[in-house]
Amino acid sequence: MESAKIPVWLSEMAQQLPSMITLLVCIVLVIARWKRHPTVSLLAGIGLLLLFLHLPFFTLIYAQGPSLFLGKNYTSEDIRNLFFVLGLIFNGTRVIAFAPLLAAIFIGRPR
Amino acid sequence: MKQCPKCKHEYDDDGLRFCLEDGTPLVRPDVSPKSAEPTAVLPANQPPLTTIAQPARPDVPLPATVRAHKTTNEDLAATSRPAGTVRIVIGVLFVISLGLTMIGWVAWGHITFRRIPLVLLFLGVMILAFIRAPRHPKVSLLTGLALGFDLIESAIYIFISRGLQSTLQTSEAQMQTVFTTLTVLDDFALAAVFILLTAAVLTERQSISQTA
Repeated sequence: MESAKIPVWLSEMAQQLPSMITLLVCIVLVIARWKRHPTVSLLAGIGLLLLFLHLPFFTLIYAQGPSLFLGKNYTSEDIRNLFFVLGLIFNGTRVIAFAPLLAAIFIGRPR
Repeated sequence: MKQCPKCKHEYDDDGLRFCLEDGTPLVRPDVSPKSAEPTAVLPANQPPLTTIAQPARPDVPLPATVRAHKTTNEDLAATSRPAGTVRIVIGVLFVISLGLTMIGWVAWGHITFRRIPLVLLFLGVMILAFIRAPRHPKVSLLTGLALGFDLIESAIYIFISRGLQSTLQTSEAQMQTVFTTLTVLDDFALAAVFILLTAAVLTERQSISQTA
């Protein structure tokens, strides 16, 4: 990573601290209930962990995106297309992260 | 009546435990395995026996413990009442979320279009929560609130940020401050969604020992 972009990345990470701290607390809560319902805790834990990793990873990708994928010479149209594709990947991977968490809500409940 | 198995002396006093002649423990002659009646085998097509939950005499009131476990029409109506309210709440949130998402697609297609996978997942799970509301209303309510809130909040965030970009005539530094504030608020909203979803995962949950 370019050293000039580290403060930008850290600043954007700081803006996501509330959700990251919440995710950590939720992961601890889910692990604490492991003995009561292991399958549900495992699914919810995987989902929350993926969401936790998803945030800093994509913050880094967004910060590095233009120089990483387009080099130094790019137009505003290139930037627009790049962020559209990145946005699709961001939301697609977020669906993968949310899926186990949402499945854990309904799994193992009495019919 | 009791009998001494050794000297065969019979005693009419049922409270007596030992033979008065030789001290041998007394037994009841009529409870020996040989005298027990064989187990009756009923035909398979026989109608079920009347249980305590189905009283043979409806005019006689059931014991309180049985009444507590007996499901009546009033009980069913009482459990369907919260489910009905939950379904209304989820339905309203679903319609608002869908409406705002559609407006976003029409107004700023390229920005909102990339959220399609997430929007479809959330709307699908809201429908699932709506269907399963009678089984566990609290869980469905928490799920519906979380997902509906996220969809509505995201749409409002896009409206505000797009609106500010086109109307706000300030310096770049001030613009940066406004957008940072918006992003932090958006993140607090996301944190609330995570709390609601984790609560939905853990609420009304039986432990393995209870379900076994």
